[in-house]
Amino acid sequence: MSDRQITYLTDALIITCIVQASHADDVVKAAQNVGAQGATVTYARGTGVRERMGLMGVTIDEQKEMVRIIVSQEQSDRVFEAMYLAGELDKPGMGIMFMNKLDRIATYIPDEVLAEASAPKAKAKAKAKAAPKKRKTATRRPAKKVGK
Amino acid sequence: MITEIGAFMHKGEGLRLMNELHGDKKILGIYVEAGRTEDLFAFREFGSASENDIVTILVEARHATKIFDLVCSKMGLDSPQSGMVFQMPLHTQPA
Repeated sequence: MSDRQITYLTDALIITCIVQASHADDVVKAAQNVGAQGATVTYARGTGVRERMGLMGVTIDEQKEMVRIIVSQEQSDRVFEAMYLAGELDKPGMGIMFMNKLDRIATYIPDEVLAEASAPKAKAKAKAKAAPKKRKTATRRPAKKVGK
Repeated sequence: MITEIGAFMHKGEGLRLMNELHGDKKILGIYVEAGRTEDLFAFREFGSASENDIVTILVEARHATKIFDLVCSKMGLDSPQSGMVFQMPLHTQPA
């Protein structure tokens, strides 16, 4: 039990996108095209805009699909934009999406990936050890002149 | 400060985790949803997707790390294809 370790990943965001039923696949495909690994989709039911749109509201499906994608900080804006455009969220009643910053993530990370990730740190440490220590020299600063 | 801990896991695991954790007094709420995922698991029942459970846990920020680690160990995240856990604050600290 004691040899089990959890590696926390940071600098990630979760994008949540709520669209009408059967639109999720297009949104996920668009996200994958710009670098997202995949997505988790759940079914939901949502109302609100549908009622406010009057007669036009009947064209909006009450059944929704909720897409959740975890992405890294650097690819978040690109994925967000791609999903927005694929879901046609600029049209009324099509859905809504938002992005939250995550404190941390944990998942299975293969040992070789962990070793590779920690290698630069270990190398830098070894290099610092091997490098001869610089002798500290005291330098005297010129005395400040007091203004007239 | 309330924190949300979310976990993506195999189908059926969510209910098991909820049954194990619902008695914990540090947990304010725990919910399970069912969905499909494209990238977490190699076994795919439906074309490119596999069924999964999504567990949402609400917990006070001071207990978040403990509950997060507990969820990680219960899910067995040290073996492949076991899912993913994430944590996010539900409101930000005022400046």
